[in-house]
Amino acid sequence: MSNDKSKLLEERKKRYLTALDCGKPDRVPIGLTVSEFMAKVAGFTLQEIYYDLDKNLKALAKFVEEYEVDTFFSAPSLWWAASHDAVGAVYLKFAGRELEPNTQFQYVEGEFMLPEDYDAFIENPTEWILTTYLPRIHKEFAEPGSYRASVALIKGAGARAMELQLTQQGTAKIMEEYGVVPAGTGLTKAPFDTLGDALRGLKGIMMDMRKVPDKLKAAMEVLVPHNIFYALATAGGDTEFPAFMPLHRGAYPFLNPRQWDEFYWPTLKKVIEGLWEKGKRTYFFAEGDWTPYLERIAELPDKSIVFHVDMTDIDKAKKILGGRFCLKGNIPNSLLAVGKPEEVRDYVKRLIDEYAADGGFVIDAAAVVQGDAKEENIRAVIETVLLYGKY
Amino acid sequence: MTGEKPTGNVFKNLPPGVCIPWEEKLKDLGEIKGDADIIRNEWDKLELFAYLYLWYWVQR
Repeated sequence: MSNDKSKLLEERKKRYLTALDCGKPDRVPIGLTVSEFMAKVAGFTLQEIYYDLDKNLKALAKFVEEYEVDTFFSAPSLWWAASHDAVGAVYLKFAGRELEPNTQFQYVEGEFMLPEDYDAFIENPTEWILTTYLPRIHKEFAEPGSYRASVALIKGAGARAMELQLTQQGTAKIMEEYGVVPAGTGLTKAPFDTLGDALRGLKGIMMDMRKVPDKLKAAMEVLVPHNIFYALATAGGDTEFPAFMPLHRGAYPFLNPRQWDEFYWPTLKKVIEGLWEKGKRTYFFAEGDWTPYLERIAELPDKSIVFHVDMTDIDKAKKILGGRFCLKGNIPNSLLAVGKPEEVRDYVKRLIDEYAADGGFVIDAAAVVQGDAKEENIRAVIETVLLYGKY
Repeated sequence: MTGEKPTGNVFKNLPPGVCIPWEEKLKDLGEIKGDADIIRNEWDKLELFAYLYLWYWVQR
């Protein structure tokens, strides 16, 4: 490993991007997707990292200083809780406010888009978000145009600008001072998840598949160009690293295979193919089990995704996707939380021997590493890759 | 959550990245005495920021 940080950055970048292209780098890249675990490493409470932007970024710096990873995912908190308080956002609960200071944030799902909103959403989703959706999810916007609503809008927009600026500065510092590369740039979603996560909710979208299937499909088609655009815009135009796409409702068995084929896959495929046409790969963060859909996923253009293995059958993923798409994963988070370092070493060694041997593989946990992971187990992951992961 | 019925949109079929079309803003601005592209470019940057702010709350 080089001590020259710019040289180290190039080494790691080459290692990571070679694997994403299904090649064999000098060794298997370590791309742990870590979030709240970093607060523990830095000695901060979760309230501190959710509310204090400086500490959120310091926790990331502390993590990459102490742990020899090739890539970083983000700062531990994806949200600045103060910006949510400014507008009275209702769908997240944060440590230190509604929750105890060291409790993981909670998502409070609701039906914030109603079935009768579909037409307005399809006609112009951006305007609908401002005029209909935000007043529902932001308590401060309950009376649009009021003094409180206007102040909240100023604060919310200003907070977002501050957050973006500090985050860009913080991640640039991680690259320059620690030589660690981003696992991805930009974020987007499957159109079904855009609707199912934050708008209609799981219950609502399940009903829509039966009651208003044509409107649901029309809304998802409207979302395709927006979701492609959002990935590129939030990446600042970068096409070197993949766009992060957390995939939720497409995991088996939220939908049955017929529903998946009819509702989930067509527009997800269009987003991925649309990004690929613009040179942007998708980090297909397949949370849960996607085994029944591997053959369909294999329809995508070669190398257009990095397939993250969580509970998907990794043997089948390797057989069906391996060689055409980079695989990433899949150390069980339960093992990192309650296992022993020697068990972690055995698991990582098996991943290297059985799935990474011919390249196109990045070592990661099965899901995002939260505060329950043991520090000695994360060290065991890294030590094992450094010892056995050289090609 | 307020359960009011949607009141309809002012604009239709706007492309990604746009909240208020430049053509609409031009009507307000009237005659532009200098380089319209300079004004348009900066307008588009703020349009993009507004667009991303709105969609941030959806693409969580």
